[in-house]
Amino acid sequence: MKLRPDIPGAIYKRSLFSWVWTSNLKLQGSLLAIIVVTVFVRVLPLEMQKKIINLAIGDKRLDLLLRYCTYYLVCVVAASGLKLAINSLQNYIGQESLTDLRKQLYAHILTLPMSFFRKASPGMVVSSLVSEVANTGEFVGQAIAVPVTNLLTLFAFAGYLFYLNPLLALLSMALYPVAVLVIPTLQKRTNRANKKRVDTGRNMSTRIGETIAGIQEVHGNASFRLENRRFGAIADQLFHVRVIWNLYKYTIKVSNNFFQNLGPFILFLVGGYLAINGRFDLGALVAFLSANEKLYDPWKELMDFYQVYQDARVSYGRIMEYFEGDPEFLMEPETPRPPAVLDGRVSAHELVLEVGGGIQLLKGVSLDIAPGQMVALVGFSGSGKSTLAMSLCQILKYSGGSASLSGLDISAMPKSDVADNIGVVSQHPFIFAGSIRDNLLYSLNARREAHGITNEAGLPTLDELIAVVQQVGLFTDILRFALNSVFKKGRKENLVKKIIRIRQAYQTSHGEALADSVEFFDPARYLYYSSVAENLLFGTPEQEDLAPENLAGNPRFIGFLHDCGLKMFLLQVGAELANRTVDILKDVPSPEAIFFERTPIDPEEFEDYRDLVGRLGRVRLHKLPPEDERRLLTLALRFTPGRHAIVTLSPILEGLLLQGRAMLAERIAADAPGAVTFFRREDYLYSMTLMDNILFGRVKSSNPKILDQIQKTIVSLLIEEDMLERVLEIGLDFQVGSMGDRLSGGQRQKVAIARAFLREPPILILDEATAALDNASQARIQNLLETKWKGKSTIISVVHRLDTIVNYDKVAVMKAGRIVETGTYAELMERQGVLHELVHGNPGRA
Amino acid sequence: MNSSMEIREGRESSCDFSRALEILRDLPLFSGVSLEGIKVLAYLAVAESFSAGEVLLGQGEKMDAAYFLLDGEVAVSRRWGDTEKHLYSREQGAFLGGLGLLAPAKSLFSVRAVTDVCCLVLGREKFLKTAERFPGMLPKILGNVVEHVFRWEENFVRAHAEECVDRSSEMGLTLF
Repeated sequence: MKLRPDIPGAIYKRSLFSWVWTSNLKLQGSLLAIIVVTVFVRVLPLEMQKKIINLAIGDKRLDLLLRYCTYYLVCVVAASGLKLAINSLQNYIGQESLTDLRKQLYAHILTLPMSFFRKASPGMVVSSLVSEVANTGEFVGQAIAVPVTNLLTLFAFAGYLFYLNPLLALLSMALYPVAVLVIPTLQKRTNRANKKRVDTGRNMSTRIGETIAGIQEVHGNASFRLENRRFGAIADQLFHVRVIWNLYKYTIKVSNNFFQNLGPFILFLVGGYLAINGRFDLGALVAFLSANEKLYDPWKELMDFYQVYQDARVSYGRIMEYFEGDPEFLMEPETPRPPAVLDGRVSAHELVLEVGGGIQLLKGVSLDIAPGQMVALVGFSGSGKSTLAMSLCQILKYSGGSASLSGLDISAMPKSDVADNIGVVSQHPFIFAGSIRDNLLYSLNARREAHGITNEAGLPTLDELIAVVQQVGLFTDILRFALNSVFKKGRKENLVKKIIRIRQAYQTSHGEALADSVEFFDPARYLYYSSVAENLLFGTPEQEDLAPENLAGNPRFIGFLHDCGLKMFLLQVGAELANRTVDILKDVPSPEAIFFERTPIDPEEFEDYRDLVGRLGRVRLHKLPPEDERRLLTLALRFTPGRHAIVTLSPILEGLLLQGRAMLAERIAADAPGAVTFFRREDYLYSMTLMDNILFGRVKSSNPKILDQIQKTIVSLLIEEDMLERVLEIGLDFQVGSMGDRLSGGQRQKVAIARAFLREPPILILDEATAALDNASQARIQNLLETKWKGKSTIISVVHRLDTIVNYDKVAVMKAGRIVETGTYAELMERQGVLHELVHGNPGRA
Repeated sequence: MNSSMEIREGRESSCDFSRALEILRDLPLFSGVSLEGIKVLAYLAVAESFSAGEVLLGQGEKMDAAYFLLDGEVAVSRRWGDTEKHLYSREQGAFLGGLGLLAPAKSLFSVRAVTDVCCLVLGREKFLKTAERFPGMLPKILGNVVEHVFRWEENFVRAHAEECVDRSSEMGLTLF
């Protein structure tokens, strides 16, 4: 006998039951064995009940009473233990199958064609994988155990009832057929409601996903009400759908109960009559009543299971329907073999790409590229140049004509071969959360993983990594990340020691030259580029309540401000800062972060301070409630005169703050020695960045040229001290944030270029890969392509800015899905055709 | 750098807002722009110093900020082939790069600090974000630019009447 039915390879074609067959069958078998024992120990107590009443109590025999009661107890304990075992096994089997389903579904979704993702919303995919699949798992866990246990129990109880009295048994079960008729009808309606619930739930996920992705727009337009209303509408809809769905579910439960409760009524009537007439003994009647009552348990569990099955069927069906679709390409070679090695030859013949509605994005494109050639695809936007490039690397699938890599048909090649041989940089590259290093190695790691490499093989050395980083112009960015990092005390102690040494060397060699751009930490001087709090503390707080952001809420510190006569001054400064900021920004609709660079107020605090300013007009400073006082002091303590130019630091306050610095140091030395480590040239300043530490001061300017200049001097020093690599490593560990949002557009593109370069593929496809870069970086990459890559790898570059294509081997000019001219730049310009028009503009149109 | 100088600098930048506001209000480029808008621009503008010899704006570089000279002297020059020619100098009160606020055009000239220079700098991104929020701002500024271009060409054709006739095909910027 064949145990497993044929299970289709494509996940979306699999039935719900197929997951039962692929679940852990060994465990399912053990489960069945336990079930058989359970049924036995469930029925036995009934017989004991009868014997206790008829034999032990009836004959007044204590020994029998004790014996039967012991049997009874053993059965009850065993039944509970076994029930726990069944539930645990069920749970394990279910969760295991659920995990299996999730993994397979995820793997399937990733391979779906690009066209699917253009329509699918991330929210939808998330809710399918995270929540909707859950009841399938629950079902698989229960699929064998629950029906078998309960049907067996049901039959065992029913058999026992017939054994006691066939007539009564028939009567008490007369109602079950009615239930079997009514409940499925109700269930159908429940299913319909459930489908609606699933769909509405998805709409909600989509909406949430969209709002979160577009949160910048929401904040930009302060469209909170609009978004709340939209979400509210779906939430209300979900409310209705869920209420109806639950109503149906409860109706089913109630009807079940009703049928169940009618049972004893008939029993009492008929059984009582028979007992009165002496045709039925009392023990049997009690056993009968118990058995009848116990019939309800398996019945109820069967009904619950029926619901689980129906719910799972609905969600499962919906999920598989949504993700229906096959990958457009073979993922891996059908029989394992080493990856194909391509020479870089690319050719396309009469290539057509048609999308829905019969629109042709490529209308018969032919192109031959020799290994190592550098080819530019140019044309007006919408001419199909990106589409062509994407069709050559299997990101899009062409619908007609043929294309090949080293003579191999692209449409038949496994994706793994294409990925092993082509590096693609897109115009808007995606950066994943993690470190810069993770992102640089993403492509390499993807291929290593695909080939099952677990050791270090294929990874670049730090030197190689740094070399590529330098080539693409990411060096300064990474250095800046490193220089802006703050170390926790006790970490990187060796480095810290060296930094202190560098600081001294730096001071000697560059101190004077940088005096204009850097404000050095000097205990005798006020620091205009540090906050008031930093000026007062002049050290690294070792206690949480002395951290600058916590000072305004620290009563001891407020007491100190009061004692040294600073409190009213600072309240006044806070009030001025709040007034000025609100006055300037009150007319700016939905101000974003850039508008808060010159004020100590954070964007999310603006509304609070606007209200506070309203109150300040009515109440004197000394009568402010404590909460408002705290708010104003917070601003004053953040006040950094060099950055927050809206308010002036008066010489009197400056003097007082310097006095305050000395007084605070004394007070801390007396009251809480060690609570602050004061800045000393011999120590590492743990609250400051690496840069601040090297400089023992802060850069005053935000001018990138000055920052660059300072960085250059630091780099040369780091090189002298043989520490550059060590520092760059710290920069490589910089966390780029979710979707790389802590990187600028240019940085993201450089990371993407570097990660393609690191693989050194025989074919490079660049889809406007340098569009987000400034002129210098663009020129650097262009130069790199021409000197390092030309002749070595085939380069297909979709180019928007035409000043970069002069040295390409071949330029293919596209217009409306066709290549209209091909040749070198010089040839095409001489021909005065479309390229000439693109470069010089069409005089008629200007 | 001595200590009194440093203190002076810190103070100077800390009183910049009202001064920046006055400066921007007097600039022809911003003439007619509402006070609310100018306030925000003045608040966003930053005082920057450049050492003698430093390039504020290089020929061919994207213009992405406008500079108002608070102190010092700059030289404007242009490179033709390999030769760089000095055109003129500008001192305190000069305003350069205003058109760079409107679009990222590449500069036709270089601006270099002759002495140590202090400038009030307004970046394009900040300017455009503000302009987005004050709908009346860009039309006013555009009007000022157009007026300036007309005045320039008018003065030019008046001063170089004969030359203009010889090179007539190059005339007519205001007919754009």
